[in-house]
Amino acid sequence: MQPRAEAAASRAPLLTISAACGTWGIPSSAVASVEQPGTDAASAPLSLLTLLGVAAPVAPAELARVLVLRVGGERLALLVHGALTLVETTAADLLPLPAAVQSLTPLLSHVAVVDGKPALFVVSPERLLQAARGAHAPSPSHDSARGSSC
Amino acid sequence: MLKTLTLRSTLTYAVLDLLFAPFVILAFTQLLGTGGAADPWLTMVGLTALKITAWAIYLSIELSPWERFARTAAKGRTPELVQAADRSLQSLPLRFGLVYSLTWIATYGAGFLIVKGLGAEHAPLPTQADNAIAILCLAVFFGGFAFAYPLGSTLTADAASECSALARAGSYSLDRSPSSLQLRIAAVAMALALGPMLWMVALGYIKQVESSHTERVTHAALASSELALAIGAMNPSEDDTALGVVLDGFQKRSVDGLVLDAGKPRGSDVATRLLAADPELSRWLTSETPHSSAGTRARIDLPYVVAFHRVDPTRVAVAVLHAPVAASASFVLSSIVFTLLVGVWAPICAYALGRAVSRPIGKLTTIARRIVEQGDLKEIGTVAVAANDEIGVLTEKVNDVLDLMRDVSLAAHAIAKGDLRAVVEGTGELPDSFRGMLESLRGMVHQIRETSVDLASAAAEIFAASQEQEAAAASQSSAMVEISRTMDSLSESAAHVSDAVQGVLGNAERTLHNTDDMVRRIGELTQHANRIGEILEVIRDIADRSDLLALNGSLEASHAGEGGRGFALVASEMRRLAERVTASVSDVKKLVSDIRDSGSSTVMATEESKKLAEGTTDAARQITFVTQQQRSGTEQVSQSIKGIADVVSQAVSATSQTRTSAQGLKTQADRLSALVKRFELTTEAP
Repeated sequence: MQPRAEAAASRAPLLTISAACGTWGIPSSAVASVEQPGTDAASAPLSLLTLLGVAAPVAPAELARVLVLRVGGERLALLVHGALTLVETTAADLLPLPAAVQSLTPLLSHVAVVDGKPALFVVSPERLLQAARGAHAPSPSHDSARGSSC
Repeated sequence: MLKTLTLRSTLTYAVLDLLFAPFVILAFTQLLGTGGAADPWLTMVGLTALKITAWAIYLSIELSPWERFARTAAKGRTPELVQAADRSLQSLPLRFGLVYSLTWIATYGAGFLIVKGLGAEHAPLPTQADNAIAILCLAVFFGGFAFAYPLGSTLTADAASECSALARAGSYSLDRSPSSLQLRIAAVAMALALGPMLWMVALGYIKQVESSHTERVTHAALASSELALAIGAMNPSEDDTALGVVLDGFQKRSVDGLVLDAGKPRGSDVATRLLAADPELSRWLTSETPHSSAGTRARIDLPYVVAFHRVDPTRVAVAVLHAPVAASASFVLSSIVFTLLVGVWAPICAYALGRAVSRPIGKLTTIARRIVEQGDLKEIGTVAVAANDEIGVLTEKVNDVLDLMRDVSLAAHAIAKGDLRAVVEGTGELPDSFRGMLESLRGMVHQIRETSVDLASAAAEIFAASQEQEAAAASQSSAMVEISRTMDSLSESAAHVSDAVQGVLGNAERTLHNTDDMVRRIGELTQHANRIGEILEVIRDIADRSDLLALNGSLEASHAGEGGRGFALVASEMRRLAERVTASVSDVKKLVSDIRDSGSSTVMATEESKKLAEGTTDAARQITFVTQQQRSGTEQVSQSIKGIADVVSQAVSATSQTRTSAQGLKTQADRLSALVKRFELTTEAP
């Protein structure tokens, strides 16, 4: 039972979002469901890339998905564009962020390399929640609004 | 101006008749011894009015054909109309003269009968009055005819001349019977002599009767005076025997005596019976004898005259003379003889006078007829002139005309022989015209000479030109035939082209039809592709939803941990299937899009092909139209060329004829020139 418990403890499945300017990963444990956009018109979801501060080119509408996150009992809908894939990772696959990347956005928690594929950035659901709160608050400062282009 | 001949004639006769009427009526009443009695005058005035009315009606009937002619417009005056009018005019003088005279006779006869019918009380007439009236009627018959006939001839002369002129202009004859001027003059002269003559005879005759009446009245008065003396010489106591002796002596003188005294009349039985039979006589004696010493009662119509003479205060002698009125036998005899003499002598004299007039006219007529019928002026000679009167002057002038005509005839003979040097003397329209004609003839001959030379020259030139023209026309004819053949060939080619273009047009129209069909089918294909796209969209949506569902399943499986692994595998497999479906849908969408693009391109290409086919069809149609026009035009040109060829061929023929005519013309011009040279001209024409 020990190995299976260890194995279960080391699992960190990620829901990856393969967008045009990179692949992003969100711990699947934080993702309550994936929905099609427009089903809940009253609460327009925030764009993940916008929150990340990445100016991405306009993606095709059919690739849009709304990720419903549950963080600490709160619900957060995020609009994402790109292919969604559920990737099995372990804690060993999660690497700390390089300082250069960490300075770009505070929303990322790790960088993961899975099966030798290009590294993907793991977004922290808690920070996303905070950022989303900030996004609904008065307009952010110039520094927070500044993003990078992919 | 009196418009119609009828009115003109009626008024002329009426005026003259009315001028004569009072004198004639006066003479009539005087002749009958009615003097100024009103009844005969009124009777004669009324009868004269009737007479004028009668002959006026007859005159209007007789002249009605002429009046119909006169009323007709010039265009409608047919020969029959003119002939009828002329017949009425020709017959009018004689007929109307007779009718006019007969109306006079009727007037006198009726007047006489009426006066006679009034009775002896109004107009006592002698028994000889009948004879006198008969002679008077003859007198007025001849006198009226002598007046009416020449006047009628004068009145109708102009109208008859108009008819004659129309007939001559229309070249038709009039129905005029031959008549003799001499006879007409003789008839008028006889009537003119017998009229007054008989009038005088009648007057003389009646005057003889009146004279006889006067004579017997005188005798009766004388006899009564003698009887009164004889009775006065007798002793009143003597008896009737002595009176009878006295009366017997008177009876031998056709006088019956009678003595009227206080007692019954005594005397001749004849006288006594007469007194008893004639109450008027008795009343007259009763009324006259008491206060008159003598008196006479005489009526011209009675065969006796009664006269009385007072013997003494108590006795009156009455003498009845039996002596009817009578004209002198010698007078009657001499009148008859003299009338017959005048009746014969007057026409003989008139005939002789008429012969003096008509004989030279007859000679002139004969000459005129010979001139007209034979035209031989040499044989005619001159007409002898008998006197210096109108006929003589006419004859002289006819001789002058004959001389002039001979001169003209001689000149015409000379001209006919070609000698234009002839000279015509004299003045007047005919010689002047002849000289003018001669001068014109000279000028004309001169011009003909020159013209004939020019004509011969021109004819030669025409001949030469005609030859050249004939050759050119023949060449043109050949060229035209060749062109005609070429045009026939061109027409045939145009027909071939037209047939070929018809084929092209059919193909183009079929292509256009096929292209339309293709466009329609491509449209249908595009609709199908669109439908496929819609289905693909549904499939893609289903796949997307399946993918999402599988993803959520995977998430749930991952949330479930180890227990959800199997489900995660299934969800993963479902996702791959959904992705594959999505990928397939994308591929199919890509293919459908390509089909659409290809369809659009095909539609565009087909539209282009359609436009090309339409253009081809239009072009083929235009070509067909143009080709047909060309074919028609070519055929028309071909026909025209054939027509031109025919015309040119005719021109060749005509030119040939012209050449022949020119040749003949030159021959004629040469002949004309030779002919004109025969004329001798005295002077050259200008």
